[in-house]
Amino acid sequence: MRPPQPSFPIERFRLDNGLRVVLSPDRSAPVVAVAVYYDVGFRSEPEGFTGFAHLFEHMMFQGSANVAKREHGDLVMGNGGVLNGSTSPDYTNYFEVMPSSGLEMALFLEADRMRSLNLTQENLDNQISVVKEEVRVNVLNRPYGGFPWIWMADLMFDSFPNAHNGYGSFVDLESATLEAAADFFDRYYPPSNAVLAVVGDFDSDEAGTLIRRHFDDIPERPAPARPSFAEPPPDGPRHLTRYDHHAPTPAAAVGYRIPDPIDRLPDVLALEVLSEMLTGTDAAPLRKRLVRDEGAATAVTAWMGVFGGSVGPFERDPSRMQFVAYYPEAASLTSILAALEEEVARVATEPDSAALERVLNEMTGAYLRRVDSFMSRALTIAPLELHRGNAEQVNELPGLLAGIGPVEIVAAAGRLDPQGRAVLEVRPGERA
Amino acid sequence: MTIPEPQLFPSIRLPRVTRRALDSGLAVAAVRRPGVPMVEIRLRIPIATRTMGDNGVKRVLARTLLSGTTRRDDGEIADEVQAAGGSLGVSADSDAVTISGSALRSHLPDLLAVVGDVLTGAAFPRARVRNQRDRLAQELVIKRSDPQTVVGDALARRMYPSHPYGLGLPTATALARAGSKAVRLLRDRSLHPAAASLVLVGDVAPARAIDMAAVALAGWRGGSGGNPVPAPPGSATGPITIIDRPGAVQTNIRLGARAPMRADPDYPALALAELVYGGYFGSRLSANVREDKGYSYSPTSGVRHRRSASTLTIAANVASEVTGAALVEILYELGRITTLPIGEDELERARRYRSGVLMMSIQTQAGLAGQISRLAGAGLDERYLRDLPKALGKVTTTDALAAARVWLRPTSLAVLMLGDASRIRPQVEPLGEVEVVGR
Repeated sequence: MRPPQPSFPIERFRLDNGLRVVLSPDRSAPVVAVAVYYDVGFRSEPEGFTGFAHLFEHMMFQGSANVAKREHGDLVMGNGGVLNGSTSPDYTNYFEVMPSSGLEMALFLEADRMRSLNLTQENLDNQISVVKEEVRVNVLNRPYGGFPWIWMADLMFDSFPNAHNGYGSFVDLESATLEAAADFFDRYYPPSNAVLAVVGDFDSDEAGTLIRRHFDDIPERPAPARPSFAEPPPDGPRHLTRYDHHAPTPAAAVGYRIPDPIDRLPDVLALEVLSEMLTGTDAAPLRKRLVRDEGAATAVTAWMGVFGGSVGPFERDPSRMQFVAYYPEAASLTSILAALEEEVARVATEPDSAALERVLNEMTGAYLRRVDSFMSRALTIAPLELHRGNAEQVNELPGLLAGIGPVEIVAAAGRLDPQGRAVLEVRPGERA
Repeated sequence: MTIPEPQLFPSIRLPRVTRRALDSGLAVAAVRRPGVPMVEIRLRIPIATRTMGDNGVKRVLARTLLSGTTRRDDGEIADEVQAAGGSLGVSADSDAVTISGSALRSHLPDLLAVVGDVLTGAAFPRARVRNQRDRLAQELVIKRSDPQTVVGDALARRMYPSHPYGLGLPTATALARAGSKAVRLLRDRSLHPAAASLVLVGDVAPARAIDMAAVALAGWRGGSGGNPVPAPPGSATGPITIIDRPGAVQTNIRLGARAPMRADPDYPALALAELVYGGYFGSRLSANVREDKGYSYSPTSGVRHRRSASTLTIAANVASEVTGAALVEILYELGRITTLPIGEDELERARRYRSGVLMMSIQTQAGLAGQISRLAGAGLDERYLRDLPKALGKVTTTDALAAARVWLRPTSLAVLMLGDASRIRPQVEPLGEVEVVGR
């Protein structure tokens, strides 16, 4: 079967201040999505400032020269839209999805905070409290909080940028200062370090005029030098056991380093296809064996990068993938790891081309469903342009998948070397 | 600088829905929505269970419906759906079992063939039922370790005592009794097309999609009209209940009350009052408890509609040491919205937000399919997508205040919280009668 290929239009230009802009009009619904991606995430936090990139993301909603605290949200939602932001290892994003008549306002709001963010001590103190409650609800007061992303970073990597907790410690959060926030903004939030993507119901010429009207006069500042985060490959298998007194049953994540998601995307996609072949459905061999037949585990899944992605993870090197299992008996971990190794080896020796074909169809369908949404499409196009200068990849995923054959799957299986894996184990209760 | 606020608010583009009732009584609705070369399906079968035992059986039925038929085993079903570029899942709630799926446009008949096969020939093999039941039991153990699930279940029990909506997650005992025989009995009794609705949305001609469904589901017959659960009596309140969770670093506060149903003439006004109160990030609750006090990451309220009752919930997860202070603010905002006029601008923002979210919810194939299916479950159709914004447009500040006075009275809400009783009891005692219970 020839893979159905989307053909979303991609138009790009760059303002004199360095802001990269990508437009992808789609007039099928009176809705528009605006996304701004800054090329900074928690990997760029200075030592002693864990959680700063995320705390800063919160400060971006606290007002700017022409917009009072809370006014940004009131304007977007009060005109029928939704908004949010998020922080990842290698980007921080902000977006609005609105009835299409709200396009200029969304652009104005993004431009105003890019030009002149308003930072006050009162708002900083307030947002430190809010972030601490966010950490309590998502990490400290629930079972499997921070599993696997926070602890897996610590286990798999050694350098501060790659290994530290992106949510941050309370000590670091409480020591955040206005001065540090102003420096962070100055350094990492110039227009030259950002991509603006607009998807949906608009005319490209008109949108271009509006974008120039609101963003052109933001002064140019140099984009920050981006250090390499590279680390040597792990020198052997790693294992960490954590005790979680909220968790009723054990769980484990098995992490592997993956090739550079930017330079070696086909290799990364082959790994994703492989993981889907092993765990995608109840009939997939690893899940079938552990969950359906043996009952050793109740759930087995896998994903790429820290938080997943859609055309490979939107991350720079070094990046990772992980298999995750939940299982009733702690003693099952050994056999679960053995099963993973055996099923990977089986694919490496006799790749099932019918299964491969099915998985490619499934992944293509899932991808098309995702980018059907203007919002998800904007949140795909923007990071593709930010990290890869290649927004067009939004149309290329089905074709890239179609290029993955049994040979590539065998090569991918060869990369899942047990000598390089990191096993993060969660056990219920307190340390004995 | 003047903020370029939009002058016009686009009106919703109502989808063109093609409808046909099949001989079996199944109501089929189809919409052509090109977008991407996919088709979404939603098959909603009303199955109102009334006891914890039946709830468990219904959950297991949903989990095992795709576990094999007389013609396909579970692996073949999974493989065929995957080959169709699709997904297929079954969910159960208090009112219905819903089959949700998607497929590449070219593979829609394959997906429908699988659906038709499971509806008429699901075999519920004993080993598969046992396996799925054990997995479900384990998943529920994990869910019950999540404080937000625990307090949510407790609130449901408080609000709907001895009613199906108060049952919450099935117990281990209920699951243990849900064997393949019980599942087959429930299937024979209630998995019927007569009161069911099928929605198809995607890159396909509606008439052709309906033809395909008619062929694939031709053998599925039986049943009569739906038999929804009875409307529950008025919601109970009682003392402020602390569910003790020693050592908790946060308190999960929940308040609950009945809300008007979608067709209730009070609903548009209450929907706006509720949004102004806590229903979105621009609400008073969020402005006060999060953006001013910093007590909580996402204090929020919401209305959930079910077939026989709608429920209003207020939720805030707050640090243990500010539990009393946060409850004061939650109650203060309730007092304020029921006694003082709501501002025109506040109301207008809520109105636009609600209409905009509705418009955006149907931008995708999946979103539109889900909306039409949920509306069908409530006895409504796509005209609601146009009528609700219209009705919201007519709500005055006086109407909103009047609705708030009926539905948001601080004394008419049940108040529960899950947290460390030794730390939070002294904080909330001044605010009313308090009882402490175990988990």
